[in-house]
Amino acid sequence: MLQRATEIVFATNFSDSSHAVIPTVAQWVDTLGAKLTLLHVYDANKTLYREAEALLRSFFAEADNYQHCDRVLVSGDPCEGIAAYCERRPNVMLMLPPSDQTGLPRPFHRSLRARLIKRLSVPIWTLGRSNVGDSEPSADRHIGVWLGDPEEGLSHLQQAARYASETGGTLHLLHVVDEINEGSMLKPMLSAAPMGEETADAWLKDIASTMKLDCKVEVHVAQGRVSRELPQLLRRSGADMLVLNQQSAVRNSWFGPEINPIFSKCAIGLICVPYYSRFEDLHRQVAESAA
Amino acid sequence: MIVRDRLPLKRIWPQAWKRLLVLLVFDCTVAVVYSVLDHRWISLNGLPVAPLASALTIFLAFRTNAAYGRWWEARQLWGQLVNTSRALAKQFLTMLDDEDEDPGRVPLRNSLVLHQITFAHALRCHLRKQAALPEIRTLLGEEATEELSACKNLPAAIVLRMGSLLRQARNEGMIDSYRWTAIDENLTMLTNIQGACERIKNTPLPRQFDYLPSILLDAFCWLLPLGIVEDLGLMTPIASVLVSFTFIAADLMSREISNPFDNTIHDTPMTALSRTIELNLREQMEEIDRERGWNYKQRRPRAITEVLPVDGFVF
Repeated sequence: MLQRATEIVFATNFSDSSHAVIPTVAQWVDTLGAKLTLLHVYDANKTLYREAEALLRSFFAEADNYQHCDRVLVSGDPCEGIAAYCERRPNVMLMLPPSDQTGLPRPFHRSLRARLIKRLSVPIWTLGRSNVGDSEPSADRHIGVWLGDPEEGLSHLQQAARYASETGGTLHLLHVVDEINEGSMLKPMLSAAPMGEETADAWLKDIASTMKLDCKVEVHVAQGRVSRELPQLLRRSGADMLVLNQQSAVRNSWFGPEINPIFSKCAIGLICVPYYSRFEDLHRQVAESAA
Repeated sequence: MIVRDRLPLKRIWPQAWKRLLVLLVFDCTVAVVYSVLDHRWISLNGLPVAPLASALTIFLAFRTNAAYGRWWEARQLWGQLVNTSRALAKQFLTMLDDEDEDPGRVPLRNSLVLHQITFAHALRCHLRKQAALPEIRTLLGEEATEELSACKNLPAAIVLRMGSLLRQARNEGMIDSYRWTAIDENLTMLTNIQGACERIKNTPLPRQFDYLPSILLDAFCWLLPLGIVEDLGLMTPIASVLVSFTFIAADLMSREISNPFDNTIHDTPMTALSRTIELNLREQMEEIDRERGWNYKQRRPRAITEVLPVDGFVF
């Protein structure tokens, strides 16, 4: 689905993060040869159409050089506007930069990204975090794939493998084994995830061989707390972007869906891929072999 | 480049809050240990806080000055590029003798002006480490893009192409040696501007300028509550955090503006400036075409407008 994306929809609210990810968006447009759509959803009660239009025209002015580039202005609720636009288009990849980091607590914040990731069945590119003034990473030669739980499926791995083989990249299969103690004895009953580093290593190698991936594959396993180990694993593997399943990217909280905190510390691009049923059999087969 | 009147706190706070929080906790601990638990030995009342602050100010001012110098030089260079582009376009459009109108090809003088516009865009992309080929394709066409795609330094290659086009004009008898020399001076100016921008991009501030103020700033922020706790007691955290914030903000600001071609919000507004160059030069080109009664028009696939500041800054 990644390499089939014929349109990249870059949803922007003109924030610092939106400006910072422009080079990454340009790189995706060049890599996929896709049409670029700059989408802005404005509040008609606060902003005039012509003001919003002038801002949208000035945002990412370089995009005027692309042969296929549209600037689309929609009024209303941002989540509804973006979802409605993406739902009626085939082969879309949505790019959603994170909110600007203010350094202040936002206890009642409802994540727009998480809502869209949960709702839409299109690949969504985002970042774990973005600091004001930072420039964003843009390379994509080393593609990390997060395999947290066998039950989450392998369709994202399939997508990442295809993309890696087409771009000549290296695939890094990543897994973190939870720390084992007396209190965690219940976990094996609830999850099919491997319980030791060696088992996890064998599980990932088994997946790589079962799927017959035609790109260079490396396996990286660590043991410990996921939020602490994953950034280190990413650093060690040298991955430039991380492909993960839609289910693992989002979790539910008191105020609705939010981005899984284990990924919010990642400073590399995250691609959340929806689950596809056609890989269900393969995934079940691998899950059984892991169990 | 930030263009709004007020600098919002959100531009500084995200990078300062962690340091300030740690300092606040330390300041509160010092105040409680001294005033509530009555451990008087913690006070360093003899610490010369004022001379230390003065020394730190000198270091910070020195670095801020150097960083601002780089930022301002970058802006001046791009201002100079705008002026040189206009002057060159004027020379191309008025100093080259008329050629026969051929609907099948771009007139030589217009081609030179288009190369000049492409140079501004290519230099921007070169400094921001972005691909300039989509802009080159739009302005110069597929054939030129194919030729230029092999070059590593696109702006330099474009200047070279302009030199070759001028030689062609001279061979066809459209300019004499005097006019060629005058135009060549401005082409050399373009090369100098590019070289100066690359110098700023590739040479960081000396590490000593960066390292020493950081160390001194940390030392000062940690020692400050110990030096003032005897006089201020439980009010120490307020005064200490305020003074620390002032120095930390100065430190951050100078750090941010020291790299004016780094693709951040403190960048030189190269997109807006290169767009201004394109709009100005196209206007000049169309004016001359109209004056001479030529119908040729080099159009973009879609109309372009000036770049406005978005959300308080222009990119």
